[in-house]
Amino acid sequence: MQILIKNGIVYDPMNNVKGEKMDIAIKDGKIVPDTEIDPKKAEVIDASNKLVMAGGVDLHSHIAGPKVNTGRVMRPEDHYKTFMKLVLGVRRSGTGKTTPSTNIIGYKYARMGWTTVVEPATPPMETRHTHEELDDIPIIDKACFPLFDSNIFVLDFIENKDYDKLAAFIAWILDAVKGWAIKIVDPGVAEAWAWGKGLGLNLDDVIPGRNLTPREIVRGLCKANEMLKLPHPIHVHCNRLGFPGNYEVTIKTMDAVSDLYTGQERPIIHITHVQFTGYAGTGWANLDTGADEIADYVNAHKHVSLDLGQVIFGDATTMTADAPFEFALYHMAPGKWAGGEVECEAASGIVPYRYKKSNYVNSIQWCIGLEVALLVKDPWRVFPTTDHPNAGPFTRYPEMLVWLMSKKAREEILSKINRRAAKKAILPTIEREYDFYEVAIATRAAQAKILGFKDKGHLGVGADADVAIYDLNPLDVDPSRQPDVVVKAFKRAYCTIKGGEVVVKEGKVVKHFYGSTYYVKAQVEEDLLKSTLGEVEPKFKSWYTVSLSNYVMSDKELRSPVPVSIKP
Amino acid sequence: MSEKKKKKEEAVEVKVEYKEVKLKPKFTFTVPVEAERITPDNFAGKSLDEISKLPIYEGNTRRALGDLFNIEGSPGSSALDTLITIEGDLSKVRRIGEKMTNGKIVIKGDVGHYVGFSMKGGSIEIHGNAGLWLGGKMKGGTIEVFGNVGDCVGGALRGELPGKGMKKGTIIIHGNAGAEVGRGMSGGTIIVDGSVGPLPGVDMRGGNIGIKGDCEGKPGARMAGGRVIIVGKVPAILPSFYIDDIRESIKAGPEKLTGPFYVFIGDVLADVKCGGRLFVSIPNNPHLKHYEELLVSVSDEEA
Repeated sequence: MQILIKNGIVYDPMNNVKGEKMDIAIKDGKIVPDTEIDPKKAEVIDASNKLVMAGGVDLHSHIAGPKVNTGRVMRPEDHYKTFMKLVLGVRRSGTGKTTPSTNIIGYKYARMGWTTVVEPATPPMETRHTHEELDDIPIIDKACFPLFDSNIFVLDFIENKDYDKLAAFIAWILDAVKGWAIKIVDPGVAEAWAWGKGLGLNLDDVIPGRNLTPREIVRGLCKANEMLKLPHPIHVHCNRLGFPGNYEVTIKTMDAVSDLYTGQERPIIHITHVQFTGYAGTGWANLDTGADEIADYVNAHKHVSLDLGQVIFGDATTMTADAPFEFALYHMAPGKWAGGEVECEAASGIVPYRYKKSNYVNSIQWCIGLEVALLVKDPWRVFPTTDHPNAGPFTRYPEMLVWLMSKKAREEILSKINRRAAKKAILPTIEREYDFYEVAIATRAAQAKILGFKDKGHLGVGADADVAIYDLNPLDVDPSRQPDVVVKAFKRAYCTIKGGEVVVKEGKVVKHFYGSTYYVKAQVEEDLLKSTLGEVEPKFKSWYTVSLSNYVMSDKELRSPVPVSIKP
Repeated sequence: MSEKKKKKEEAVEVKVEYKEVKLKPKFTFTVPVEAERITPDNFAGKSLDEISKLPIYEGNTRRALGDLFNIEGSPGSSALDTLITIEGDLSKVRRIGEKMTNGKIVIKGDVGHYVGFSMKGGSIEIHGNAGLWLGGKMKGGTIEVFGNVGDCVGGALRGELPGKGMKKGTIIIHGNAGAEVGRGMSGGTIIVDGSVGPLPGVDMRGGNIGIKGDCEGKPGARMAGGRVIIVGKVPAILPSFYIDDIRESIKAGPEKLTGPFYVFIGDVLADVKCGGRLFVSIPNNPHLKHYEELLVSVSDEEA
């Protein structure tokens, strides 16, 4: 199939295209030079006076896996409010706002112009479930990050300082469960939580029952990550998340691996949902923003990238593999709580939550996310996300982007939030506003680059034909003055093209098909892998309730797997 | 004080000359009919032709109201003076009177679930039996049923937080009610002349539930406010309730119920302050006599 997008105003930061009027030609799911397509056969899309960008990329959104499913089960009230109707032959139906059904996750992302989404936390043993759900999400391309921080073998290898075997084990697991990168959630806490301890574990505290600190886990996994040269850096959810004064822990965590940075192309540590770990102050009553300190550190050091976890006022469902924190949150926000424990690997918790403008803490949280995004100077290293559904559903991305693009839009919310929080925040003093180019970097190019998806996030020749067209003329519309226009355009893309097929037309899903799932095949010496597995196998037999052969997934279990080979 | 004032306001009834619209099913429904459009607010000021074109779902098929019902009469100019009378077997018809703000609906026959769901005012009369969630999440108005009703009268939906149920208004049931009467309610009054199933007043945060018949058990589980009054028999009181007092009579909304009653406070599992009050008849529950010993011993110590 051939498509020609005519006269669009294109923003493509990876190829230095900044608001130029140009045509984009698509053939067989790839972007090709204009000359290669036959104008008579091609479907022509008139994009004159419209904004054209690559399809959006989201590197942190909990869209699939056992805990997402438990969230759906425990929140029936979330599913009364919204539903998407079945359209025969076009799309399936679904319900849910913060924990949507699998199918409408794909449709809703596509409607906003997003085409690649990553599930950022899945316990290796339950990744089979994660893939079952990812396979059921239509349209978008997917990947998932397995959890490694409290894996019993990982801790053993780090304790013995056996980094070669650690790297081999990680490469084996990523291949076995079809994962993309290393996710670290509150390092060491799930191990401690198995003993009922671990709440508020700090970076240099010794993990109960182990001769190990979270710092060593982060460093060990970072070393292994760089040895394997995995496409994505270690994806870290810091210790003491959700505790006042934790911005210091975040900075310490970033600094813990600074000496391992030897001029790599990409950063070597990614701190995720930094809003939740950017609190200054000594308690909830005098909570303050630590955004400026974190931004200063990130501006001065090249080895770090961040994503926001921006709070959106309204309903949310917090779900994380940081089980003790969720247990604490349950006592702060009475209601429902679910806890999970995956043998030898991870623990998790789920608590429904509602962010309120009148609440001092929630208002400070809202400010911190935006402050970090605006104070970090390099848009290639800070990504707007809502950590869906922890700080808000992904469907609210357009509003979040407009807060970054318009001081007017920020001030409108600032006038409505808790007054004490608004006085304390740095946000009112920040003048910076993102332009469309920076938005294209932050939501597309930079995220694809840090994930290591070479064919995504840009519109150069050879890239995947994932394109989003918005009904908005970026040369006419001033986002700073007309935030509403931008929100409206971003909420429903004029046209979304995924893999060379038009999936959304004028804000409506018109086609249903399934995208691919990416996973990493890292290469390790065969002898090393053999000796590592020889060490793992007997322990696995005695500690796990499943056998090793059932633990490993085959390619056939995925709908359309795309293995990416990495050479060290 | 403010609660009393509110009750007075509710008690004042406005006499209106209603203009009537009559609905009759054209055939026996075999699949659920989602009839949230049958409200005085939707009918008021419209011609019969316009009313018969209102959309309504029969199963998964979108139909017009006129396809399913014979419609006669003429509606009033506003919801206030519109009366809707529905006659026939409506046991498959759901959500009649959803979010209505004024006027009156009279149902002659059995009716399905969610009648008066989230209604804000006006009144509904049911001469027959009703299904589940009668008056669920109600915010005002009155419902009177001359038959039996299903579970979760005035209740919050599944999964919703305590206190998200009925907020205001009155539900009077002359027959029996099912389980979880007043689930998560935070205000208003429910009176049941007959017996109720288990768990009346579960997750309750305010309001009154008066039960003139028996209760199947576990009254007031996880309640932290409001009153549950049981004139009939109760198998047992939950261990998380404490006896507090003995009262001769108690007022539940418009009605005065006479006892004498044991007064229990609880549920300590929901709130250590024990804001909920559970009134259980003394003459009908001789097996609860052992609680009187606790009452006496405490008052002796205080003396």
